[in-house]
Amino acid sequence: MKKLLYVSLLCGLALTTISAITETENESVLTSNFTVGNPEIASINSISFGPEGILFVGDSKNATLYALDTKDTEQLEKGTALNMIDFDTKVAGSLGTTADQVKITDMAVNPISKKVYLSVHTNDGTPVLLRLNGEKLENVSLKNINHSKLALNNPVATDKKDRRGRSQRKWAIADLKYHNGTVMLSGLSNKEFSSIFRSIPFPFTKAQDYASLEIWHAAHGRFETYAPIKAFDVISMNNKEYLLASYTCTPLVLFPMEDLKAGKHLKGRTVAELGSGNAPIDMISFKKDGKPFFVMSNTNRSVMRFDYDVIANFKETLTETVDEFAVAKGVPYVSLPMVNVLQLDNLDADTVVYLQRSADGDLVLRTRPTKWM
Amino acid sequence: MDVIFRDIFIKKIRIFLIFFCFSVIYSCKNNTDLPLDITINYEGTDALNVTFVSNKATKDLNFFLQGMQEPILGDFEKANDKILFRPIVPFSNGKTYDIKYLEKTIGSFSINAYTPTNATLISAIYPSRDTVPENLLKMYFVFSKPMQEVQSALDYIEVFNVTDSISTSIFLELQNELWNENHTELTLWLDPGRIKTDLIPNRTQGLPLEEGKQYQIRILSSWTDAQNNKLDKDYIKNIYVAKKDRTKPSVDQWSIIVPTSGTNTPMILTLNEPLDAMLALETMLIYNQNKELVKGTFELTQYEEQLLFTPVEPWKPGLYHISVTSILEDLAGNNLNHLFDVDLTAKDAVNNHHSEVHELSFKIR
Repeated sequence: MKKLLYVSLLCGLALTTISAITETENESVLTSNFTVGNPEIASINSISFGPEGILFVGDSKNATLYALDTKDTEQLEKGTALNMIDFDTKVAGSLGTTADQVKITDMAVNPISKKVYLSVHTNDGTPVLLRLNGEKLENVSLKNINHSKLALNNPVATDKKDRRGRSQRKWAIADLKYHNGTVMLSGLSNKEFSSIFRSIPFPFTKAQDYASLEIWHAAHGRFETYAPIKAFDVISMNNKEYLLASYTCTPLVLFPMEDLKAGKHLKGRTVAELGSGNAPIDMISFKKDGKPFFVMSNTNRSVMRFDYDVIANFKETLTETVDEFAVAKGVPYVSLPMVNVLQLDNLDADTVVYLQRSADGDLVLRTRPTKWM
Repeated sequence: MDVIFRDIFIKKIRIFLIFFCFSVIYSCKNNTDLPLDITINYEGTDALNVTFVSNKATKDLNFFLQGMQEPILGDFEKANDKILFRPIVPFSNGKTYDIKYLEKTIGSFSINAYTPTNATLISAIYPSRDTVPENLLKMYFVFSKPMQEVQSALDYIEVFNVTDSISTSIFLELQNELWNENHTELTLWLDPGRIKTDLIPNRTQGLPLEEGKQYQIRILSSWTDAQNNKLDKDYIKNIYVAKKDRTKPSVDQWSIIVPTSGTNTPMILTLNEPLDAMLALETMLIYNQNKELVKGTFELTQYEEQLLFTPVEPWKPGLYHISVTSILEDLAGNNLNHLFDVDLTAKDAVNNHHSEVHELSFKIR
C-alpha cells in the first residue's frame, strides 16, 4: 500500500515537472519582459508588425516606442479580399462619430493572421487601434494589453544637458519597420530642421543606436545633410542588405545596413531622383513570378514599382543636377495605375492591401493581387 | 326608444374607451423593448458611458450614431436589468444616438452640446516681426488651447501675395504635421526644397517668398480646436520680405548688459539678429564659476532679438558662462555650426570645426 502511495506521489511530481517545463517552453523569449496593463499610449503615428503577432507602435506625443502582444497568432496563408467603400465613414461610425472627426494615421497587416490593423486618431487626438476581422471592425484594447515600451532618448551628449534643465527634443515619428531583431525608426524635429534615424534592438534593452544619415542629393548637387527621411524599407541585393530610404524631396538613397552604426555619419548612394512636388508615403516589397520588386506610394504621384535587379545593377551615384521639372532620374520605375494611395501593405504573399481616396472623395480599402502590380 | 338606444351606445363606447386606455397603459407598462431610465454619465464634458434598464441580452443590443450603419464599438456591463455601455471613445458632444435591439430602435439619447466659456485664440505667431529674410525657413503658430488633430492645418491657412495680387502657397505639406505634445504649437516649414539652391522646386518654382514683396497670411476662424469649437476670429499676419540671410548666428557678436550684484535684475543678451523663438528659449543655460547651473527664467523680447535671464537668487559677484547648443537657428535655419544652404564651391564649405556647445562669459563685480 505504501509503495503504491510512493509511486502515485512520484508520478504526480513527474507530471507537475513536465507541465511546468512545457509552460516555460511555451512562453516566448520575445515577450518574457512584457507586462499586462495600460501602456498609456498618447498617440499612434506609425505601426508595424514584428514576429509572433507583436505590433510596434510609434508614439510621437510620448516620444516612445511600444511593443504590443496582440496574441493574434493563428496562422493563415491567405488574407480576406476587400473592397470596402466609404471606409472612413465605417471607421467613424464604429467610434460613434462622423468621417470628418477621424483620421487613419497608419495601417499594417499581421503577417501571421493576415488581419489588417488600423491606427486612428479622433478630433481631440484620442488614439484607437482597430482590427479588421473579415469586413468587421474590432477594437484592440490599449487599456489592458501585454506590452513593453522604450522611451526614445536623445543622443547621449544632449541627454546630459537635458537633465540639467533643457527640455527634451520631440520627434514626429515618420516611419517604423522591424527587421531581423531590430526596430528602425525615423522622425522629424518640430523645432530645429533635422531628422533622426534610430536602430533599436528588440526585445528592448536600454540600448538604442542613432545614426545621422547624410545623402548626396542629385537634384541640387550639394550636400543634403538635413533632408528628413520620410519612408524606408530594407532590401536584400546580391546577398547584402540595404536600407532604402526615401526623403521628402523624393530621392531614393541606399545605405548598406552593415554601415549603420551608432553615431556614425553616413553618406548614402542616391539611386533615383523621383521629381519634385511629391513626398513618399509607404514602401513595401513583394515577389512577382519569383522576382523581387518594391513599390512606393506618394502624395502627388501614382504608385511606383521598382525592380530589385535594376537597382542592384545601378552602380552610379547621381551627382548631376536634374534640370527638367518633375523629371525622374536614375533607376527607372513603372507608374502603376493607382493614385491617391494613402496607406499600403502586403496582405499575403500574392496580395497587397491599400487605402485609396477615390476621385469622388470616398475612402476605399481594397486588395489587389501582386500580379496586377 | 331612440334615446335609450343612444344612451346604451354611448355607455358601450365609454366602457370600450376605458378598457382601451387600460390596455394601452398595461401594455406600455409591460413593453420590455423600451429601455427605461437612460442616464448619460459625464466626466467634465466627456460623455463616457450610458446606463439604462433593459432585460435584453447585451449581444442583441447595439448603439449607433443616429443615421449611421456601423455599430459603435464598446463594452457592456450588466447587473440584473441595469446595463452600462462604454464606447471606446466618449460619445460626441451635441450628437444623438440610437439604441437598437436586433434591428429595431428601442431608445435614443442626445449628448449635451459643449459651449466653451472662452473661445480658442492664437496667442502668438513667430517670427513676431513683420520683416523677414527671403529665405525664412519656418513659422510657429501658438494656440491658447489644443487644436483638432484630424484635418490638415494648411486647409485653414491662406497666403496672399499682396504685391502681385495673387494667392500663393509657401508652406510644405507634411503627412505627419509638426505639433508640440499638447497640440498647441504648430511648426510650418516654408518649402525647404524651394529654398535650397538648385533643388528642382527651387529652380522651377523659385523661393516661397520673394525679396521686396509683401505677403498676407490669413488663419481662418473656421479652424476648430480639439473640442470642435472655432477660433475666435480670422487672424492676419503681414510679412515684408527683406534680403536673404546667408550668415550663421555667432555668439561672438552678441552683447551682454551685465546685471548688478545683489539684485535679481535680468541679464540682457542682445542677439544681433532675431533668432528662432522656440530654440532660443531651450538652447541656453547659465553656469557660475563653480560650474553650477544658475536657476532662473528666460524671456524673449524685441521681436526675438533680445533675451532676458532673470535669476531666482540674487546675482553674486563672479564669472558666469552662457552655454549655447549649436542647434540654435536664426530665421533662415542657419545654426551656430552651419548654413542651411551650403554652397560646396565656397572655400569654407567643408568646415569640420563643429562644436556642440558655444560659450560666452560675463563677470559680475
